[in-house]
Amino acid sequence: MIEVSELTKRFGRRTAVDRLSFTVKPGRVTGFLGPNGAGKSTTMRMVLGLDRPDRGSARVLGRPYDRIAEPLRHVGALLDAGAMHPGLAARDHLIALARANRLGAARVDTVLERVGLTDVGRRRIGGFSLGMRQRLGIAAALLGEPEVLLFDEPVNGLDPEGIRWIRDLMRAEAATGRTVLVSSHLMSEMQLTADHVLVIGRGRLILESSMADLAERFRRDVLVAAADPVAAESAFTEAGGVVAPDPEGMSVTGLTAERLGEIALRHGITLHRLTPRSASLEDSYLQLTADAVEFRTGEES
Amino acid sequence: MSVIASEWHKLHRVRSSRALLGAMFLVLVGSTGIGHLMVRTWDGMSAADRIHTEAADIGIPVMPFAEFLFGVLAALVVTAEYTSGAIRTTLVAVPRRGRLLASKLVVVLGVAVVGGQAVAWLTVLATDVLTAGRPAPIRPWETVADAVTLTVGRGVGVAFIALVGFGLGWLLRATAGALVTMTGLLFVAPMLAFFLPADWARPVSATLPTNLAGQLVGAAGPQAVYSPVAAGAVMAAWLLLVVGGGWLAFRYRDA
Repeated sequence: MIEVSELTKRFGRRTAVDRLSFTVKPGRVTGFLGPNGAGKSTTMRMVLGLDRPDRGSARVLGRPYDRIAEPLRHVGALLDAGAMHPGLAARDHLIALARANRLGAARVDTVLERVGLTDVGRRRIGGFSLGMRQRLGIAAALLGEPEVLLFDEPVNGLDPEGIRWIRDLMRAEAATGRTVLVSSHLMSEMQLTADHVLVIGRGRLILESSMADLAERFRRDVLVAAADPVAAESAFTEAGGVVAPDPEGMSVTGLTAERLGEIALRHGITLHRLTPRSASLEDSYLQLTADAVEFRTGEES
Repeated sequence: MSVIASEWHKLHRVRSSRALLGAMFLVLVGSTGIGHLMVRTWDGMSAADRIHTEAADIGIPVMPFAEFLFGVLAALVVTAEYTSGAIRTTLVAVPRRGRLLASKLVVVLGVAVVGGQAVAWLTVLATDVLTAGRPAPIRPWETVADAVTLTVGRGVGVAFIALVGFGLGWLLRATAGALVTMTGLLFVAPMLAFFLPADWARPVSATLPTNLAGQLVGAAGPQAVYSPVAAGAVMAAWLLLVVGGGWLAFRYRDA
């Protein structure tokens, strides 16, 4: 469980995170989405006590992060892949972290095995590729078998096989009841990984939704606003359409806009709106975040 | 204790520590070679020339190097983590900043005290062997027992400079900045002090970090300005300034 309340961070004049509030619940993968510079990494750093918020607070498992004794036993974090000493061997990096939280050397070998770095454990991190560093960072996050996991852009530098692996790993961790927060700037990636999404832009929460609702909301459909919605709904359903409620009228799938227009004419129903919506999730996301940057609002026309 | 063990593991496993240890060894061997040459030259001199020779004290060339190398080592314990970003991973494992800084301090101080004394005593033993059976001035002391205070003071000097380097690391967060500042403090400042007006040169020089440990143990000879207690107070003031400032920077700045 991660709780963020009214979190605000300014760098000089720029407000990186602006009164951000959300809760990350256990048992599902929560995607933290936003374009570069939206404040995702800054928020994660504040959650982990690395950056000091100007206002607001962040709690992990009900406490400020620095009040958790031996935190690696409860929280695992993958920060940027560079956050390790290049002069240390991979195994020594993990042993130092394990010692600091009184975890045994057996755990070090277990996580090295789990991320597939056993054979290169004695090699210096300085000679590692970005993908290997990313795997080592994930090993460090898993070291204490934590119930809360934070991953900042984990797919960076991974090859397709690695991307699939980390995706399965996050889903498996969430399936065992753990809390997983993963940031990304790619909706297409989250679509495959997350059960729930938080979309931020300019440091503000634009949208919070389950992935299923979001996909439902943005699937290919036709927005209809009719003078007599009850009559319209029965006429469309009769013709084989599927009608769902929508804040601006009704969402119809299974029939084209042209067909809906003909049906309405035949039944003598006045239509106020008839708008085909074909945005992909990625398009919708881009639109959402672009709006946030320009107008600071999530409203769509 | 667990965080101290963690920091010690990093320090003794990281490649730069081994490089610095290797450099220290080379300086010791090289300086012993120079001492050997001095003694051989002395052996071939006339009695009149022998009186004007300098003492073949290997500690004189070695100790400034030792201070610099241990100062660099101490600064790297901090700056290498900032330059690489590893400090963030470390803080996720140890979020209590006071605990982290104290643990690093214990490791740095332990290494510098042991290392400083080891180097100081090695130079004394090497000097003793090289100059055996010869009189002053080529032999700096009659027996090793006469060199105890001087040697302990030299070792303390190494530990003190290491703490200054440690504080600079927290203040500057960058390896290059810490090294440049340390070079300035250790090698450039003493030269600048030398060119000050006569009544300024002595007190300024005596206050510089490199010259305090000798006064603390009362082995600075005629150059001493401070009593041992006063020298100790000046050293404490330096540490309060540099390590205290470093702690404040670490405590209140974002990582």
